[in-house]
Amino acid sequence: MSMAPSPVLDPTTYLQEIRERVGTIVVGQDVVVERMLIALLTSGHLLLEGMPGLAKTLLVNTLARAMHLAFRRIQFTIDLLPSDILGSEILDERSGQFRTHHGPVFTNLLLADEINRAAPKVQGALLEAMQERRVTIGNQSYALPVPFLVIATQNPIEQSGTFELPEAQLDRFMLCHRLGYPTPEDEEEILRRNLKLGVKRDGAGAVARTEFDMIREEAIGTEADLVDAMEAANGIHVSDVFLKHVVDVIERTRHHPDLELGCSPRAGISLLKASRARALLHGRDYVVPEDLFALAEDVMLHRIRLTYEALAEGKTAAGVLREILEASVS
Amino acid sequence: MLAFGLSAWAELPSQRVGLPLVLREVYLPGGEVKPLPRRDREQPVSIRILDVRPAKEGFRYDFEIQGFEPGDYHLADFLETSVAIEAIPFRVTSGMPPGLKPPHEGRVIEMPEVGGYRTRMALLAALWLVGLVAILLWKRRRAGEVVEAAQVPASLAERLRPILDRAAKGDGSAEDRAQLERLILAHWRERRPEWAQLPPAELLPALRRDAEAAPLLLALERWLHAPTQETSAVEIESLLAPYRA
Repeated sequence: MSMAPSPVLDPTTYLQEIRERVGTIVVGQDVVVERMLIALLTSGHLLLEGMPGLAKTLLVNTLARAMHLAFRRIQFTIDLLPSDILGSEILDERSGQFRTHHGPVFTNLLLADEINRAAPKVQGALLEAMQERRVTIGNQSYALPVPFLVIATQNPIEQSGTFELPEAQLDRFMLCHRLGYPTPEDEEEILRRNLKLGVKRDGAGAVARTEFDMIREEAIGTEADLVDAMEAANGIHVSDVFLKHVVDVIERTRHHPDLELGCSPRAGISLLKASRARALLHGRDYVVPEDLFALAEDVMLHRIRLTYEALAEGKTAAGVLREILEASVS
Repeated sequence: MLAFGLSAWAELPSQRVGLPLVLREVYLPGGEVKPLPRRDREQPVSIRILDVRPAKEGFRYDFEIQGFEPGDYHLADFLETSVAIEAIPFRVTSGMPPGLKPPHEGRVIEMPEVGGYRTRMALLAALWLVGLVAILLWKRRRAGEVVEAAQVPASLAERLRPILDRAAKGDGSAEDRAQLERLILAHWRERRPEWAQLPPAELLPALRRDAEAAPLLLALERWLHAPTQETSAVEIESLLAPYRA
């Protein structure tokens, strides 16, 4: 990341410009961009669940370049090893000494594609790095760059050959957002933009342009702007009444007859932090119940587990969570 | 239990009602006898043959007699025999004090009939009509009472005013204020049936855009959640306008 002495934009303008920049490349994914920014502002991590081809990589790439953050992508496969992510010690034949090779985890924005395809040992290595923000290679411990945000994806339809993330590891993701297909209007816009891409000349040959070629290199703001936005999010006012609302919703998940596993205190903390960041993104200096309800599904759904009886009755976690949220406003 | 041989009979064998009287080694000439089957509940004793053994020109029996009514009886009266047999008396005694009168038998009293079938049907129809009219009148009166109750005490606005005053000043517990916010949201959810099915994540933005619901909701957000609250009685009065309906 580049260093800058002071912020050049006010936090709300800075964040709004980033959203607009991403919007020029990726169509109809404003909510995902919002969730990414929330995760970035609160040092949380984001799990994206969605079908292939929904521009997840393009989104993360665009965001990283707009914010001038280092970006790496790892495709998780069954034969991936922890050292492929974290790095390893390599023997330098010329010097006869071991030197440390840093893995792709040493970045600001890490896209862990199809995280549930890797073996639990590999998932565990990444999730440990996410939690501690440090990795140990050989006998040496290394701090990860800041900010450090993992955006992991999992494909809901391909269950064969996958290792489902256990609840304790899912809990480490601050948000789990379910990506939907674009609306027909957005889909039409995607197609229109694709028609205009054209061909890129390369020496004597040429290659068809992709959306990745359209990403602008220059960043918006500086590192100081991001730090300033993070501090602003941390300074958003949270009233006692809002805390009561959060506790009420979390408590309801723990006593619902259809839920075997309710939300942990970490879920409440995540809800609070995410609400603060959302308030900042919406230009407010205080959180309101709308923040809570807008983020409740992304923060809570991956943290609850249905009872066998509820599953046998055909109930879904999303349905039960909706029931809980509706009960809290009736 | 008493056991008697016919040859050794010195006095009448007896037993109390409800207790078994056993007569052993009773010799009866002729073919094997059987107790007469009971044909009604009036039979005063019940006979059971415990054992039968062949004897010269007849059989020897052990009988068990169960007496239901006190009195003197003859065993032969309760047996099915092929030849005439001599009387074998026994006595059933009572444990009740002497001179006690038995209870009167119940008598069936027939209710006097009111007319015939047609009259009864007419009476039932009249009764049904009276009941129907009574129910209708009662319902009408209840509806009237509900309308009166809604009109007389206070409108929602009147009930909300003191709570809102406290909320605007930041008074009251956080739980009470949270409850107030939920109450207002629930009120609008009920009042806008087209939004009742929306999940809360979509309901709240919709309410914030609604011309009628938004003013108070946004003011509440400011009073309950913003770091500084500024309001006036006039503002509260204007915000309560939609709740007077």
